[in-house]
Amino acid sequence: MSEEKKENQSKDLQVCGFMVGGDYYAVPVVDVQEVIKPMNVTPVPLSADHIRGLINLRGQIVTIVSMRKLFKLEDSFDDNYMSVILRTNDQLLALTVDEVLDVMELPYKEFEDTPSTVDENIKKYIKGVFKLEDKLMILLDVEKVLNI
Amino acid sequence: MSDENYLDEFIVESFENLTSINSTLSKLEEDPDNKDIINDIYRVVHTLKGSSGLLGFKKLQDLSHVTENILDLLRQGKAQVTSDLVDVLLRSFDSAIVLLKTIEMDGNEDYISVDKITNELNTVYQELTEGQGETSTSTDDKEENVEPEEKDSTQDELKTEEDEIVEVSVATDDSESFLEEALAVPENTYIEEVVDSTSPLGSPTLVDASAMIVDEVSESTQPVSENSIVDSVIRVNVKSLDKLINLVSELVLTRNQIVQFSNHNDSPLLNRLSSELNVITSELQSDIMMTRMQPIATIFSKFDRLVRDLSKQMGKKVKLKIFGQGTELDKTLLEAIKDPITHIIRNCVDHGIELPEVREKNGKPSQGTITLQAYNKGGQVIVEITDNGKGIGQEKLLSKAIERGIVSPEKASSMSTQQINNLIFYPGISTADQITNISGRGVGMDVVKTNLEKIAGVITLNSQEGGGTSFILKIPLTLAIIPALIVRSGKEHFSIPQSSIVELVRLGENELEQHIHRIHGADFFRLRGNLIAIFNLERSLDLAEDKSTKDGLNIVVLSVEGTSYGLIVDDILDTEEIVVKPLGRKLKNLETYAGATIMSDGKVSLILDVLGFYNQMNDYKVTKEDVDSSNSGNEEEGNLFSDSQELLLFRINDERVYTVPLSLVNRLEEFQVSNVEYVGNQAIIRYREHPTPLINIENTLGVSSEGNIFKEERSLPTIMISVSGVEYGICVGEIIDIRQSDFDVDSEAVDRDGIMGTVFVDNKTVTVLDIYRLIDMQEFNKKKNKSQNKKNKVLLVDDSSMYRKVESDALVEAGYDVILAKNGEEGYSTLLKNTDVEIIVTDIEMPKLDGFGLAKKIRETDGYDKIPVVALSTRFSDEDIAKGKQCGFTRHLQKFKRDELIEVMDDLLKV
Repeated sequence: MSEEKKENQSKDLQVCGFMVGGDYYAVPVVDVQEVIKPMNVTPVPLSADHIRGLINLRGQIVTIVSMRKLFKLEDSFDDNYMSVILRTNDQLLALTVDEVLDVMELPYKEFEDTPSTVDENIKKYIKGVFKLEDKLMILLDVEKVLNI
Repeated sequence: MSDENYLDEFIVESFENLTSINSTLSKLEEDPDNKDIINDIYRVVHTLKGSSGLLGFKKLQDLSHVTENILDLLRQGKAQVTSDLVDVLLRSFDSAIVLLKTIEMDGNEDYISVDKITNELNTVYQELTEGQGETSTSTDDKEENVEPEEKDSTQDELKTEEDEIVEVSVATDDSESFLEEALAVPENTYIEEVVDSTSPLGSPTLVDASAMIVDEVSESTQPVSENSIVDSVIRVNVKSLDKLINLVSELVLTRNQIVQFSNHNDSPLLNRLSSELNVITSELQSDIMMTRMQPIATIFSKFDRLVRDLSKQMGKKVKLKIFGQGTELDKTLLEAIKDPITHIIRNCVDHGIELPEVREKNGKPSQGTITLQAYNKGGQVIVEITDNGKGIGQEKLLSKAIERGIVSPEKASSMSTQQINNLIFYPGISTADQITNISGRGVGMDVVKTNLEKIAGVITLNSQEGGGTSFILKIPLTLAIIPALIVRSGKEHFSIPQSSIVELVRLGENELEQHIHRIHGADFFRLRGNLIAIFNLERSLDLAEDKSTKDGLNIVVLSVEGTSYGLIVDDILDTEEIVVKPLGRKLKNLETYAGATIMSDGKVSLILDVLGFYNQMNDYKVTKEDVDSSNSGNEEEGNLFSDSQELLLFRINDERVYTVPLSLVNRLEEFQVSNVEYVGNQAIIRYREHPTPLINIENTLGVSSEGNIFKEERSLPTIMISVSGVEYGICVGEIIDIRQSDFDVDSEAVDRDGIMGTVFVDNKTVTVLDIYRLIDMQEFNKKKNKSQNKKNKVLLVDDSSMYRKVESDALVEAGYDVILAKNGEEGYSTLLKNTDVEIIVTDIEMPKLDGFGLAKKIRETDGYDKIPVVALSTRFSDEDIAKGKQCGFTRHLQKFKRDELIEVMDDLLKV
């Protein structure tokens, strides 16, 4: 993360923002394939707690991970949840989040390492934070999330 | 005649190589010092020589051999490339092409002479070597020296090409028949035949090849086979094929959805189109799958050599027989099974086949045989590898397993032959005394098994000590699309691969008690005499339970790796061709599922991994294995035609082993002494809301040394049984096991009241308790009045002395006058002698004349068409019941249900 910081000191990072449990999170736009509305989910019995199940995304079977469960927060059963589909190395993964925000550009100069105050359950999945004027934007470590 | 598959491959490959050589040779002329070009040409000729030799085309072999020699000189720099030399080489290749064409058309090379060009080449070769002052190496010597290596490298070259490319036959009008021909390889082609067969000597009318070359150039008038193999075959990269297959898989899914949709739609046009789409897609699917199919010969051919080398190395004489080389398998599967089969064959040579001296001493031919056989069966490919060696040393294996802690010594004593043999699939087991570089390192068979499981294959083995071992591999034809059964459990749909499904059973509510047993907290289902573990899918997977009332049970009976188990599901829906999709990285470690698929309604359904699921149900494993051992040996024959019984073995304080037939047992329970209450002197326990009398069996039998077992605070293993509608609990010391036994009770050695006799179980004497007598002996029963007024005469026919005793005791107690007979014939003659017999109770399975026959005979006898005949059996298939009715059974009852029998008899005689 520090190299990124140095290299891109002047550049902005394009991210897709979303909310989980009242906090702001972001993933780089390049890792996002699409955002989808709730679909018919097939649960996977005996799987890890944060695995919500499988969906059929146009013929491809994609695992859904509940971000709330992953962060050990209470799962909400809101029907309006959205899924962010991440794609890296041809692996697809869907993250269910509370709300999807806009695509935004975050200035790298505002990027900082993860503050120590962040909950341990969340800390292991994030790269750092962007300190914006009105809020903190937490940058998700996509690799870590994909390799839970 | 050589194997046609080889021939086709050979011709296609050689044509390609030879055609490319012409341009390469021209390049060489321009750049004579380029070693790469020479090497390329050399390789091609070398391959041609090897494969033509293998297929027995002597002329082609000789031709390429001498060409190769010349090229070898060039390669080593001992000769220079000259324009004349290139000319000769070109002509030699032209002749080779002519030869190949003839071979393609006629299947042999008899009518072509290549003497002219061969001689010319030889002359050139001699000139070249003499020029170098090298005359010593005779070609014959040289050939012999390099022979084995040559063959190997030829095969290696073939292999590398196979890795990337498969041959695809493009269907032209005529090529269909060609395809059929190519595919229809005789099942039993020995590889020896291929190696041995040399083409017959040339016929008198030889055509010189060089003459034909001219014809070719001047617009050939030679007959050229219309459907030339070369023209109808193109090479396709496997990757493009894989992509096609993936696309077809998607198409199949879409087809499924459309068909489903059109089924709910009334439009006739849509229905017609969808059924057309259905047909075309299916055809496309099977055709595209065919393109990946390759004959198993591609891997089998390598084993001949392997066996030869290995056996030489070890001083053994081994012959490898190969059958069914034309059996086709998906390319990826072929690759996947190559290593496992190689390993098994290595093991056969290393462990299986004995040294020639040992074999002769044991009266076997000094040469051992390994048979490798492949064939199609039930949608799978079966590969059998059998050796006639020494088999698996059971004791050695067992002691090794105990040493490694794989089985406990107690467990070991109760293992069946099959179970012991299966130990070789555990990691860390090897019975070779010495670790050789071939096998014996204790890695291997477990890897073989896991590798096969990865492709949904199954391996089983049979071994006879001294008689040899055979491994049977069952391999699915193709992986991507499999037929599966769709079941519902809770709200979810699951797919179960059809290959693991044995049968589907539906139990009505009233059948549950009879078929479902609870032992050590696990459920078992009695399937034709065998107990198999059953799991409730819903509960096993922690699904939300389906609250709707159920009027029975659906059990899917599954079999994997020789173990069977049942799966209770809420609903059995349909069979469907499903496309297996792997689960994502996050779910890979869940062995419960083999993957997922998209159903025709677009929903995702998980595919159960039949073996993985079973392994997950670890808790039940111990119990299950216990039961397995009692089932062992019965899987094939079943116990349909014997009075074989499952016996519950237990121990009481005197350390003797006792038993009661499992069919008498309702359940096994464990009570705490602290919960035991007393009514007078009678111990009782509250069980399912009923006060249930507990029988202290030690007291009753008078074997107790300590006195009252209820005094010490402990848990009481208890056998629950019902007699005359009352449930009793028999407290025992320890419940040991369930075993299958012929139940041939020897009542000679009865030393106490309450004991029926003894049986042999696993060569040990076990005491059989007379439960009914035991209960009668209890205090609370002593005062009971017994109805003794009826005195109807009953003829009891049963071949088992035990049953005769149990049943006649019961009948006498119920007030009947009993006459006994040991079989149907004796029964019949006894019946005729005793005209006052009013009712007949008969077993079904009996020597001489069985129950069906007896009933038939009785019904055919004058005056006996109305007499009640009650049949007792352990078999209740619909067929049996129907047959019984036809033969004249009045009633057909379960054996050992004493109360039911008496009730029925009383009822029948009232009329």
